[in-house]
Amino acid sequence: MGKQWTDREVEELLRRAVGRSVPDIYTQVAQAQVSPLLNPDDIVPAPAPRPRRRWRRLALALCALLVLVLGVGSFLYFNTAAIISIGSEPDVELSVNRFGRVLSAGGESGAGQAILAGLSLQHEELDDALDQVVAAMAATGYLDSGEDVPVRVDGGDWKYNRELLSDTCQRLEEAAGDAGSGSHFVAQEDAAAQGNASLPAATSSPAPTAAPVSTPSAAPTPSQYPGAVPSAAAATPTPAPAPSHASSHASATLTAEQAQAAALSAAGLSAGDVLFEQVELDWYQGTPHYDLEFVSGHTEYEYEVDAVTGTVLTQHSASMTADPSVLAAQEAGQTALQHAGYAAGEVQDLEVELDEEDGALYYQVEFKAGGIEYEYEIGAYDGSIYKAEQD
Amino acid sequence: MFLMMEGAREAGRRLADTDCEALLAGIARGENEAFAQFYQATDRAVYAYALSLTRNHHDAQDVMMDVYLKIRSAAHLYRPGGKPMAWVFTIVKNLVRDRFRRSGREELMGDLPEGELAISETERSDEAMVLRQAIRVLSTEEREIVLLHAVSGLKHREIAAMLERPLSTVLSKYHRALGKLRAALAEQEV
Repeated sequence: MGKQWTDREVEELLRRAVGRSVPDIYTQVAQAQVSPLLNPDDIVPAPAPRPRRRWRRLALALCALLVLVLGVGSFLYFNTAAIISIGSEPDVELSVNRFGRVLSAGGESGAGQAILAGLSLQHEELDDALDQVVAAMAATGYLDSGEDVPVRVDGGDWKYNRELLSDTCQRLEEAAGDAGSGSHFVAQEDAAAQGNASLPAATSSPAPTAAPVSTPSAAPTPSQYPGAVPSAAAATPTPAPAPSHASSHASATLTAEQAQAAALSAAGLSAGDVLFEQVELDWYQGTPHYDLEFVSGHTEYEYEVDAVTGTVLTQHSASMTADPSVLAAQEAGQTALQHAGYAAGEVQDLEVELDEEDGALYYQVEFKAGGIEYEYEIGAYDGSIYKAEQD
Repeated sequence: MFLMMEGAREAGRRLADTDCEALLAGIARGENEAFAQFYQATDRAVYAYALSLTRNHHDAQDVMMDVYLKIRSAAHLYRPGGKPMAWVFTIVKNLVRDRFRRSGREELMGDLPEGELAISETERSDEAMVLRQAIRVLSTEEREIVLLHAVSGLKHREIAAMLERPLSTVLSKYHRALGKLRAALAEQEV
């Protein structure tokens, strides 16, 4: 009988046997004259196809993306998002795209054609186009009668229409004011849109008279509003729009503090228990209102308060946590503000949000003051400052 | 210990694909040093594979010579990014096929008659007996797989790709071949 071998031993013996058998032909093959082979033959395999370079695929993908972007962009650009009708006929119609550019302008009446004569509004920014239209209206005597000019927006979704109508009216009013016109532009809104709107739509006729410009002495005292209480919270309201932004319907007569008091009263809170994040005067259909955002305890609130009557128009609240041991949001906010050396009324864009990372619950507090952005992370249970950054 | 040292030496002889490609590029530029290094690193693998196909030393040596001449003349046709040793082994196989087609021996890859080996028929050393039995009892494909793995140092996966066979087939054939070889060695008269 022969020997018993393992696989490994057999492999190694084979290696040794071949190692002993390999002829040394190096000198012969190294010194022989050879001619370079021009092409693969039936001995030398043809080279494998060169793999496509990545950049080529990337370039193709980018080209495809570019075509897609151009296609979608062109579609969006040349697609009419809404039509703005100005005047009773209407006299002037502007079709605009989603980017606020005028796609076409048409005069539907003799007066309208006279207004648009000589104007080239295509591809103009809507604001610029409206300025030119009003200037032409003033030049052609269209605004001399002092009658109100109805403005409509059709074609988009109701929310978009509403915003566009509001912006357009504001711009037209500004331009008319600049031109010294006595006429006013009055928003007209669809009944359906009015039904969907969260804010009361402005009436289209008769044209209301201009409300008296509010003055501090004319502002009602907080006691004039049911439930209103004086507020110690001092969040700075965003500066109210200039008078020219107001439509002819009304001017704000409520101060920011009174709006805060009205919201607090409706929420059943006292000023000492809340931190106001935002108090901003806004306009809708010529009606001014305050947008208010504040936090108290574990709840964040959003209110809209009529800036003329003090009526609460909308109110929303959302709980941030159900954990009673979590610090009140206003305390976390105050911690950050005190650390930065500011009072609540001295900062802008204040935001207090409860957040969680890797199981650690904390308040994220952000605000701006003195041109610097502040970002804090405040421990939700102990109020300690995890992070304090300035940018 | 001896076996381990031999294995390590064999592993060291084998070049990484990138090094192999760099040497082929050097050969294509006519660099003698590149060819010397390439030859030194591959001669055993080339010979082993040629021997597994031809079953005799003289044919394997002739094929080996043709292979290196072909490599010198065609290194520029190798495209980097592939498998350089697979390219070389394909040249070996094509040269063997061409050689036997010319000589009228069309039974290539079938049952080529066993021929003389470099080691004398009378030598009774362990390695002589193992190689002799490998040439004698294994089928062509088994010889290819065993010598490519055990001597040329190719991984089973690389052999499977080269022979266009499933990896499982290569693995089972390899182990079956070694078993066959061990059995033949155990039965032979000493």
